[in-house]
Amino acid sequence: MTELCTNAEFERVYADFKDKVTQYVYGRIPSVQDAEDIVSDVFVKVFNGLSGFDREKASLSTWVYMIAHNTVIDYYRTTKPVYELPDDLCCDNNIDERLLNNEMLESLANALEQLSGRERDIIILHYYSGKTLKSIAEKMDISYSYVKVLHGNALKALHKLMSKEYL
Amino acid sequence: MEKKLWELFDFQKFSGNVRLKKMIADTEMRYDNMLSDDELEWVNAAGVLIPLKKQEDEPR
Repeated sequence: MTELCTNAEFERVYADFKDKVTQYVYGRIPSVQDAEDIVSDVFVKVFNGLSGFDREKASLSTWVYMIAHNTVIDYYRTTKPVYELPDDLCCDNNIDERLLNNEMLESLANALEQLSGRERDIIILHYYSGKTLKSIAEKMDISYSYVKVLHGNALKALHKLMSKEYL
Repeated sequence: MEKKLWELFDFQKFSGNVRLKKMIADTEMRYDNMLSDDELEWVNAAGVLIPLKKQEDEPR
């Protein structure tokens, strides 16, 4: 009976997170075949850990995100592929999962609201959409140098606005 | 700071905070459909974006 419940719950988790995990992994692993294997590994870990998952310690989205993140890190550590570790992943400084929660996202939303429209757009297009600053400059029809200035200003402002809570 | 932003926006893709979702949709609606000069290189005379596979097959 417990096994049936776990299987049913796993199916729900798989349906909810399949696309998110796939997008995350494929964005970081250059080899399609390796990426497929890693997505599969993530859900094996989710299945194996689901019965022991403590919802009071972390939300389901935080837990699945951490499994995906750590599985990608493990890939770069253990297989030593020819590819360079992406800039947004760092083995030396692991994510503090206690700080990955909706309150922190609310804090980020609050801070982004304090920025100018252009600064906010640059932060979102660069860090969420993955656009380069050069590409953003072209989209905004402003110089690359000016985008770099706005980006630097936005980072300073976000650091100041969020430093007490997170950074 | 930059690494923390990558982490938070990555986590947003899993979590879906409503306020951030709205801001992101607003920004992407205004800019994401616009192709940069780099991307325009792959648009044919009819204004159609050429798929990567086809780009590799066709002489430039």
